[in-house]
Amino acid sequence: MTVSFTLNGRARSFSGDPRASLLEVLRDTYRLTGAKEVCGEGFCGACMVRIDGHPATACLVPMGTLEGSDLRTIEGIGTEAELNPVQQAFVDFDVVQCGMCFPGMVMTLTHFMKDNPHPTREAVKSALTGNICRCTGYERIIDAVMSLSGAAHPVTEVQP
Amino acid sequence: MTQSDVVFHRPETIAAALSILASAAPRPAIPLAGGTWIMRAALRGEDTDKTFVSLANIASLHGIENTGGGLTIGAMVSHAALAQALGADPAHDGLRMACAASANPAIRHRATIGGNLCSDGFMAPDLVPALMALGAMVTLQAPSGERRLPIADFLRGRGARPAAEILTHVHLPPPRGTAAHARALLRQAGEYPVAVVSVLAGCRDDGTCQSLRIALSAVEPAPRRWETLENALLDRPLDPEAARDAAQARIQDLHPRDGVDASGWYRARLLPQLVQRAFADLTRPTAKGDPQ
Repeated sequence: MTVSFTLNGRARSFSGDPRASLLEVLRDTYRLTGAKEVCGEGFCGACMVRIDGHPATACLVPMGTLEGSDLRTIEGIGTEAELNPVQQAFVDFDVVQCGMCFPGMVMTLTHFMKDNPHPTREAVKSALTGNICRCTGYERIIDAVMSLSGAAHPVTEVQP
Repeated sequence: MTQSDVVFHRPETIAAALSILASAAPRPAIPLAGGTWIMRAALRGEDTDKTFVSLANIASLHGIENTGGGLTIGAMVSHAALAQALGADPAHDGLRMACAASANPAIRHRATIGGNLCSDGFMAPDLVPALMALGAMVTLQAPSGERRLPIADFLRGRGARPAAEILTHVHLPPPRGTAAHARALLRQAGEYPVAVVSVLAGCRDDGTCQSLRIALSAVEPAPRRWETLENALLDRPLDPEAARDAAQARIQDLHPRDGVDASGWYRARLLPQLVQRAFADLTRPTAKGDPQ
């Protein structure tokens, strides 16, 4: 069985075990290591990617379900020269500590800000219930996200 | 590759899925819905070499239909989609809250109502107690035919289901009464609730309670109704403090489980407060609608 999909804008096909998780395949086959393997249970959000425009924990998605899907990982949403707005806000607010959770945070919050350009702090916290950070205590992350509310250039998911 | 080597199927009809499930030797075959439970089998120390029969391409499992004043919900409808689809009827407030607050946003987008019901061993589902409170039924299809049964009966037999059987639809009766769903988390994020109380109450004009269902999740190994508490509160006005005290007086009816997240005694300690919170929500309808 071959599964064909688009990964960060490039057509790909996968013919390994279709029961393998997307996370395993991203990391081991495509060497995209931005999505992290941490809890393996869908709790922590460190492996968050986007499937057909919606955040998903890659650890819980079997490859066989991805025929025809459009996949986007942290490697596909910004460049070093031009960070995505959430990434840039994280830099500006000096948010990042160990970095393990941040690719997933960016994936979740980019999607959230596209749909909710003027959120309350409480709404940001609700959006983050699937992304655990064990370093920062979250408040600075939320400060950074709130700075994007009403920004001149609202957050979009348009790709570079 | 021979047929028996195929480990992942994507049938487009229920009949085709049942036929694969019925003949999947040498490997056991399991229906795959959202995958959020099955993909963690290795963490639970379970056999992972099973044939996956994905239900994603079966169109009839994705719909939500009005049927005789009630709703028929396809097993593949996600928590998030159901939260969006439920109208403003107060009888659906508990289920809507369960769908909109369970797990986290990414999981709610993938996990399905059918998966929530079929995940034998998952001790803290949110949708199941809300469905029990609503008096929901499920339809099961097998090669021999179709049957419909109440959720409690389905749960009782869940550990010994035939391999070739698919839960296809969930049926909600016409909405009557007001519902509430109270859940206790140790933190706000990244975990299951340690106790859930889901209630549906119908009141007479004089304010006394004419019908009442109270369902629990996460407290015992499987969700259950709390019938002795229901009986104690019937024919009385909805009163949060009285409901709490009645729950406290009947806590010995339950067998709360010990788990890594919380001990049994702790779940028992929380429950009267959760019952009070649910009843306070029932009596203050304007305060509802914000799941977090």
